[in-house]
Amino acid sequence: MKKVFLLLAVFLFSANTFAWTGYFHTSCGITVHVLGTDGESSVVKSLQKINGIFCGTENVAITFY
Amino acid sequence: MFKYYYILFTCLFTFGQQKINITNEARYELTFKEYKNQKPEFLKNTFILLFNEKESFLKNMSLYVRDSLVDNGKIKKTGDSQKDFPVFAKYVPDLPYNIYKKENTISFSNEIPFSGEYQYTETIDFEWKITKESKTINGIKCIKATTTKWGRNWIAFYSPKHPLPFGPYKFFGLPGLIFEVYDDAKDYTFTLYKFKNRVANNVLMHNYPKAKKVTKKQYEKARKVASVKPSTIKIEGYPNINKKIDKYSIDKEKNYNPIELTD
Repeated sequence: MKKVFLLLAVFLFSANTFAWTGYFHTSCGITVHVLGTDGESSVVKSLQKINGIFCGTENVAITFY
Repeated sequence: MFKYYYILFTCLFTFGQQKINITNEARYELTFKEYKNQKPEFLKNTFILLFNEKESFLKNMSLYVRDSLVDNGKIKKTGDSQKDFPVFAKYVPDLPYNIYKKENTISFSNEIPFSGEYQYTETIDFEWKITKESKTINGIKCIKATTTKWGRNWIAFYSPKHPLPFGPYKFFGLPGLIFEVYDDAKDYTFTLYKFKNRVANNVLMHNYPKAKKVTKKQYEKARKVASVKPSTIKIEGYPNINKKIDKYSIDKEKNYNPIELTD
Protein backbone atom coordinates (compact mmCIF):
# COMPACT_ATOMS: atom_id res chain seq x y z
CA MET A 1 0.00 0.00 0.00
CA LYS A 2 2.86 2.36 0.90
CA LYS A 3 4.53 1.55 -2.39
CA VAL A 4 1.41 2.52 -4.36
CA PHE A 5 1.15 5.79 -2.48
CA LEU A 6 4.79 6.62 -3.17
CA LEU A 7 4.41 6.00 -6.89
CA LEU A 8 1.34 8.21 -6.98
CA ALA A 9 3.15 10.97 -5.13
CA VAL A 10 6.06 10.85 -7.58
CA PHE A 11 3.66 11.00 -10.49
CA LEU A 12 1.84 14.02 -9.10
CA PHE A 13 5.12 15.76 -8.41
CA SER A 14 6.31 15.07 -11.94
CA ALA A 15 3.08 16.30 -13.48
CA ASN A 16 3.36 19.48 -11.45
CA THR A 17 7.01 19.94 -12.37
CA PHE A 18 6.28 19.78 -16.07
CA ALA A 19 3.40 22.26 -15.97
CA TRP A 20 4.20 25.63 -17.45
CA THR A 21 4.19 28.79 -15.36
CA GLY A 22 5.46 32.28 -15.96
CA TYR A 23 4.86 35.99 -16.39
CA PHE A 24 2.89 37.12 -19.40
CA HIS A 25 3.47 40.57 -20.83
CA THR A 26 0.30 41.55 -22.70
CA SER A 27 0.29 43.66 -25.86
CA CYS A 28 -1.06 46.65 -23.88
CA GLY A 29 1.66 46.68 -21.25
CA ILE A 30 0.02 44.74 -18.41
CA THR A 31 2.01 41.90 -16.85
CA VAL A 32 0.16 38.98 -15.28
CA HIS A 33 1.43 35.96 -13.41
CA VAL A 34 -0.13 32.84 -14.92
CA LEU A 35 -0.07 29.42 -13.37
CA GLY A 36 0.17 27.00 -16.17
CA THR A 37 -0.89 23.73 -17.59
CA ASP A 38 0.52 21.17 -19.97
CA GLY A 39 0.29 21.40 -23.73
CA GLU A 40 1.56 24.30 -25.80
CA SER A 41 -1.73 24.60 -27.67
CA SER A 42 -3.73 25.17 -24.46
CA VAL A 43 -1.21 27.62 -23.08
CA VAL A 44 -0.90 29.65 -26.28
CA LYS A 45 -4.69 29.87 -26.66
CA SER A 46 -5.05 30.81 -22.99
CA LEU A 47 -2.50 33.59 -23.23
CA GLN A 48 -4.19 34.90 -26.37
CA LYS A 49 -7.52 34.92 -24.52
CA ILE A 50 -5.94 36.69 -21.54
CA ASN A 51 -4.63 39.28 -23.99
CA GLY A 52 -8.19 39.56 -25.34
CA ILE A 53 -9.60 40.12 -21.85
CA PHE A 54 -7.08 42.82 -20.93
CA CYS A 55 -6.32 44.43 -24.28
CA GLY A 56 -9.26 43.65 -26.60
CA THR A 57 -7.40 41.56 -29.19
CA GLU A 58 -6.44 37.91 -29.27
CA ASN A 59 -4.57 38.10 -32.52
CA VAL A 60 -1.11 38.17 -30.99
CA ALA A 61 1.91 35.97 -31.55
CA ILE A 62 3.18 34.52 -28.27
CA THR A 63 6.93 34.40 -27.74
CA PHE A 64 8.34 32.30 -24.90
CA TYR A 65 11.73 33.07 -23.43
CA MET B 1 -23.65 -2.89 -45.93
CA PHE B 2 -23.03 0.82 -45.65
CA LYS B 3 -23.03 0.51 -41.85
CA TYR B 4 -20.17 -2.03 -41.98
CA TYR B 5 -18.20 0.11 -44.37
CA TYR B 6 -18.70 3.08 -42.04
CA ILE B 7 -17.43 1.12 -38.99
CA LEU B 8 -14.45 -0.23 -40.94
CA PHE B 9 -13.58 3.27 -42.12
CA THR B 10 -13.69 4.59 -38.58
CA CYS B 11 -11.58 1.72 -37.16
CA LEU B 12 -8.94 1.94 -39.87
CA PHE B 13 -8.66 5.66 -39.50
CA THR B 14 -8.55 5.60 -35.73
CA PHE B 15 -6.24 2.70 -35.02
CA GLY B 16 -4.09 2.31 -38.13
CA GLN B 17 -0.86 4.18 -38.72
CA GLN B 18 -2.33 6.72 -41.05
CA LYS B 19 -0.48 7.07 -44.32
CA ILE B 20 -1.53 8.25 -47.74
CA ASN B 21 -0.08 7.82 -51.22
CA ILE B 22 -0.29 11.16 -52.95
CA THR B 23 -0.13 12.40 -56.51
CA ASN B 24 -0.89 16.06 -55.96
CA GLU B 25 -0.59 18.87 -53.48
CA ALA B 26 -2.61 22.08 -53.21
CA ARG B 27 -2.21 24.92 -50.75
CA TYR B 28 -4.99 27.22 -49.65
CA GLU B 29 -5.18 30.43 -47.70
CA LEU B 30 -8.23 30.88 -45.50
CA THR B 31 -9.38 34.37 -44.56
CA PHE B 32 -11.94 34.09 -41.79
CA LYS B 33 -14.00 35.82 -39.17
CA GLU B 34 -14.54 33.45 -36.25
CA TYR B 35 -16.19 36.18 -34.17
CA LYS B 36 -18.30 38.85 -35.82
CA ASN B 37 -16.59 41.64 -33.85
CA GLN B 38 -13.04 40.30 -33.85
CA LYS B 39 -10.04 42.58 -34.20
CA PRO B 40 -8.60 42.56 -36.79
CA GLU B 41 -11.71 41.85 -38.83
CA PHE B 42 -10.17 38.84 -40.58
CA LEU B 43 -7.61 36.24 -39.56
CA LYS B 44 -5.56 34.13 -41.95
CA ASN B 45 -4.50 30.49 -41.79
CA THR B 46 -2.99 28.34 -44.54
CA PHE B 47 -3.68 24.69 -45.26
CA ILE B 48 -2.08 21.92 -47.30
CA LEU B 49 -4.24 19.43 -49.19
CA LEU B 50 -2.55 16.16 -50.14
CA PHE B 51 -4.48 13.83 -52.41
CA ASN B 52 -4.65 11.07 -54.97
CA GLU B 53 -7.52 10.16 -57.29
CA LYS B 54 -9.60 8.66 -54.48
CA GLU B 55 -8.75 10.29 -51.16
CA SER B 56 -7.48 13.52 -49.67
CA PHE B 57 -6.01 14.81 -46.45
CA LEU B 58 -6.03 18.42 -45.27
CA LYS B 59 -3.85 19.88 -42.54
CA ASN B 60 -2.92 23.31 -41.24
CA MET B 61 0.42 24.38 -42.75
CA SER B 62 1.87 25.29 -39.34
CA LEU B 63 1.33 21.75 -38.10
CA TYR B 64 2.55 20.27 -41.37
CA VAL B 65 5.81 22.23 -41.01
CA ARG B 66 6.13 21.24 -37.33
CA ASP B 67 5.59 17.54 -38.14
CA SER B 68 8.12 17.68 -40.98
CA LEU B 69 10.72 19.20 -38.65
CA VAL B 70 10.05 16.52 -36.03
CA ASP B 71 10.26 13.74 -38.67
CA ASN B 72 13.60 15.07 -39.86
CA GLY B 73 14.97 15.39 -36.34
CA LYS B 74 15.28 19.18 -36.53
CA ILE B 75 13.18 19.73 -33.43
CA LYS B 76 12.41 17.36 -30.58
CA LYS B 77 10.37 17.38 -27.38
CA THR B 78 12.31 17.02 -24.14
CA GLY B 79 9.27 16.57 -21.88
CA ASP B 80 10.04 19.78 -19.99
CA SER B 81 7.42 22.43 -20.80
CA GLN B 82 9.74 25.32 -19.92
CA LYS B 83 12.17 24.15 -22.62
CA ASP B 84 9.67 22.82 -25.17
CA PHE B 85 7.30 25.79 -25.29
CA PRO B 86 9.74 28.28 -26.84
CA VAL B 87 10.30 25.77 -29.67
CA PHE B 88 6.84 24.28 -30.24
CA ALA B 89 4.52 27.17 -29.38
CA LYS B 90 5.32 28.99 -32.62
CA TYR B 91 3.61 26.20 -34.59
CA VAL B 92 0.23 26.47 -32.79
CA PRO B 93 -2.33 27.61 -35.37
CA ASP B 94 -5.81 29.08 -34.90
CA LEU B 95 -7.43 26.14 -36.65
CA PRO B 96 -5.53 22.90 -35.99
CA TYR B 97 -8.04 20.49 -37.55
CA ASN B 98 -7.23 17.58 -39.88
CA ILE B 99 -9.70 16.34 -42.47
CA TYR B 100 -9.43 13.00 -44.26
CA LYS B 101 -11.86 12.36 -47.13
CA LYS B 102 -12.66 9.22 -49.09
CA GLU B 103 -15.68 9.25 -51.37
CA ASN B 104 -18.31 11.07 -49.34
CA THR B 105 -17.05 9.96 -45.93
CA ILE B 106 -15.09 12.41 -43.85
CA SER B 107 -13.01 11.90 -40.74
CA PHE B 108 -12.57 15.17 -38.89
CA SER B 109 -10.14 15.50 -35.98
CA ASN B 110 -9.13 18.47 -33.93
CA GLU B 111 -7.47 19.52 -30.71
CA ILE B 112 -9.54 21.75 -28.47
CA PRO B 113 -7.46 23.66 -25.92
CA PHE B 114 -8.06 22.51 -22.35
CA SER B 115 -10.49 19.90 -23.58
CA GLY B 116 -8.49 17.34 -25.55
CA GLU B 117 -8.36 15.72 -28.95
CA TYR B 118 -11.59 14.78 -30.73
CA GLN B 119 -12.50 12.81 -33.84
CA TYR B 120 -15.80 12.26 -35.59
CA THR B 121 -16.84 10.65 -38.85
CA GLU B 122 -19.62 11.91 -41.07
CA THR B 123 -20.97 11.43 -44.57
CA ILE B 124 -21.59 14.50 -46.67
CA ASP B 125 -23.22 15.22 -49.98
CA PHE B 126 -23.05 18.57 -51.69
CA GLU B 127 -25.76 19.58 -54.15
CA TRP B 128 -23.75 21.78 -56.46
CA LYS B 129 -25.36 24.00 -59.08
CA ILE B 130 -22.90 24.63 -61.87
CA THR B 131 -23.35 27.98 -63.64
CA LYS B 132 -22.10 29.40 -66.92
CA GLU B 133 -20.15 32.13 -65.16
CA SER B 134 -16.38 31.98 -64.96
CA LYS B 135 -13.38 33.93 -63.74
CA THR B 136 -9.63 33.59 -63.96
CA ILE B 137 -7.78 32.66 -60.78
CA ASN B 138 -3.97 32.38 -60.82
CA GLY B 139 -4.12 32.39 -64.63
CA ILE B 140 -6.58 29.48 -64.78
CA LYS B 141 -10.13 29.82 -66.07
CA CYS B 142 -12.50 28.62 -63.36
CA ILE B 143 -16.23 27.86 -63.47
CA LYS B 144 -18.63 29.11 -60.81
CA ALA B 145 -20.77 26.68 -58.81
CA THR B 146 -23.02 27.26 -55.81
CA THR B 147 -24.39 25.24 -52.95
CA THR B 148 -26.01 25.65 -49.55
CA LYS B 149 -24.45 23.93 -46.55
CA TRP B 150 -24.16 24.42 -42.78
CA GLY B 151 -26.51 27.41 -42.83
CA ARG B 152 -24.46 29.32 -45.40
CA ASN B 153 -24.68 29.90 -49.15
CA TRP B 154 -21.37 28.98 -50.77
CA ILE B 155 -19.87 30.14 -54.06
CA ALA B 156 -17.06 28.03 -55.49
CA PHE B 157 -14.83 28.33 -58.55
CA TYR B 158 -13.32 25.12 -59.89
CA SER B 159 -10.90 24.37 -62.70
CA PRO B 160 -12.07 21.93 -65.39
CA LYS B 161 -8.40 21.65 -66.42
CA HIS B 162 -7.69 19.95 -63.07
CA PRO B 163 -10.28 17.12 -63.08
CA LEU B 164 -9.91 16.25 -59.40
CA PRO B 165 -13.04 16.47 -57.23
CA PHE B 166 -11.34 17.95 -54.17
CA GLY B 167 -11.15 21.24 -52.35
CA PRO B 168 -10.37 22.88 -49.04
CA TYR B 169 -12.09 22.12 -45.74
CA LYS B 170 -14.80 19.48 -46.34
CA PHE B 171 -15.68 20.67 -49.85
CA PHE B 172 -15.63 18.16 -52.68
CA GLY B 173 -17.71 16.79 -55.53
CA LEU B 174 -17.13 19.29 -58.34
CA PRO B 175 -15.76 18.12 -61.71
CA GLY B 176 -12.52 19.97 -61.05
CA LEU B 177 -10.25 21.14 -58.24
CA ILE B 178 -11.73 24.02 -56.25
CA PHE B 179 -9.57 27.14 -56.64
CA GLU B 180 -11.75 29.40 -54.51
CA VAL B 181 -14.76 28.97 -52.24
CA TYR B 182 -16.47 31.46 -49.97
CA ASP B 183 -19.80 32.04 -48.26
CA ASP B 184 -22.00 34.89 -49.43
CA ALA B 185 -21.29 36.87 -46.22
CA LYS B 186 -17.57 36.38 -46.99
CA ASP B 187 -16.92 35.27 -43.41
CA TYR B 188 -14.86 32.32 -44.70
CA THR B 189 -12.87 32.50 -47.96
CA PHE B 190 -10.53 29.75 -49.12
CA THR B 191 -8.22 30.62 -52.03
CA LEU B 192 -5.76 28.28 -53.71
CA TYR B 193 -2.28 29.80 -53.90
CA LYS B 194 -0.21 26.81 -54.99
CA PHE B 195 -0.81 23.58 -56.88
CA LYS B 196 1.68 20.98 -58.03
CA ASN B 197 1.98 17.35 -58.99
CA ARG B 198 3.74 15.57 -56.16
CA VAL B 199 4.10 11.82 -56.18
CA ALA B 200 4.99 10.28 -52.82
CA ASN B 201 4.06 7.05 -51.08
CA ASN B 202 3.27 6.42 -47.43
CA VAL B 203 3.10 10.07 -46.41
CA LEU B 204 2.40 10.12 -42.69
CA MET B 205 -0.71 12.07 -41.79
CA HIS B 206 0.28 12.64 -38.15
CA ASN B 207 -3.29 12.62 -37.04
CA TYR B 208 -4.29 13.06 -33.44
CA PRO B 209 -3.39 9.71 -31.83
CA LYS B 210 -5.26 10.29 -28.57
CA ALA B 211 -8.42 11.61 -30.21
CA LYS B 212 -11.62 10.67 -28.44
CA LYS B 213 -14.31 9.38 -30.81
CA VAL B 214 -17.41 11.51 -30.45
CA THR B 215 -20.44 12.58 -32.45
CA LYS B 216 -20.27 15.76 -34.44
CA LYS B 217 -22.77 17.34 -32.07
CA GLN B 218 -20.58 16.53 -29.03
CA TYR B 219 -17.55 17.95 -30.79
CA GLU B 220 -19.31 21.20 -31.78
CA LYS B 221 -20.53 21.65 -28.21
CA ALA B 222 -17.01 21.17 -26.76
CA ARG B 223 -15.55 23.56 -29.32
CA LYS B 224 -18.10 26.25 -28.57
CA VAL B 225 -17.49 26.01 -24.82
CA ALA B 226 -13.72 26.32 -25.36
CA SER B 227 -14.18 29.19 -27.82
CA VAL B 228 -16.48 31.41 -25.79
CA LYS B 229 -15.26 30.69 -22.27
CA PRO B 230 -11.81 31.76 -21.15
CA SER B 231 -9.40 29.07 -20.18
CA THR B 232 -9.08 27.67 -16.71
CA ILE B 233 -5.55 29.01 -16.45
CA LYS B 234 -5.08 30.93 -13.18
CA ILE B 235 -4.21 34.60 -13.13
CA GLU B 236 -2.71 36.00 -9.94
CA GLY B 237 -2.95 39.53 -8.61
CA TYR B 238 -6.16 40.69 -10.28
CA PRO B 239 -9.07 40.38 -7.79
CA ASN B 240 -11.63 41.87 -10.20
CA ILE B 241 -10.69 39.58 -13.05
CA ASN B 242 -13.91 37.52 -12.79
CA LYS B 243 -16.06 40.47 -13.88
CA LYS B 244 -13.85 41.02 -16.91
CA ILE B 245 -14.00 37.31 -17.75
CA ASP B 246 -17.82 37.23 -17.52
CA LYS B 247 -18.10 40.22 -19.84
CA TYR B 248 -15.65 38.62 -22.25
CA SER B 249 -17.66 35.36 -22.29
CA ILE B 250 -20.99 37.06 -23.00
CA ASP B 251 -19.42 39.05 -25.82
CA LYS B 252 -17.77 35.97 -27.36
CA GLU B 253 -20.96 33.92 -27.24
CA LYS B 254 -22.97 36.71 -28.89
CA ASN B 255 -20.47 37.03 -31.73
CA TYR B 256 -19.48 33.36 -32.20
CA ASN B 257 -19.37 32.71 -35.92
CA PRO B 258 -18.12 29.19 -36.78
CA ILE B 259 -17.88 27.98 -40.37
CA GLU B 260 -20.72 25.52 -39.73
CA LEU B 261 -23.72 27.37 -38.34
CA THR B 262 -25.96 24.30 -38.61
CA ASP B 263 -25.47 20.52 -39.12
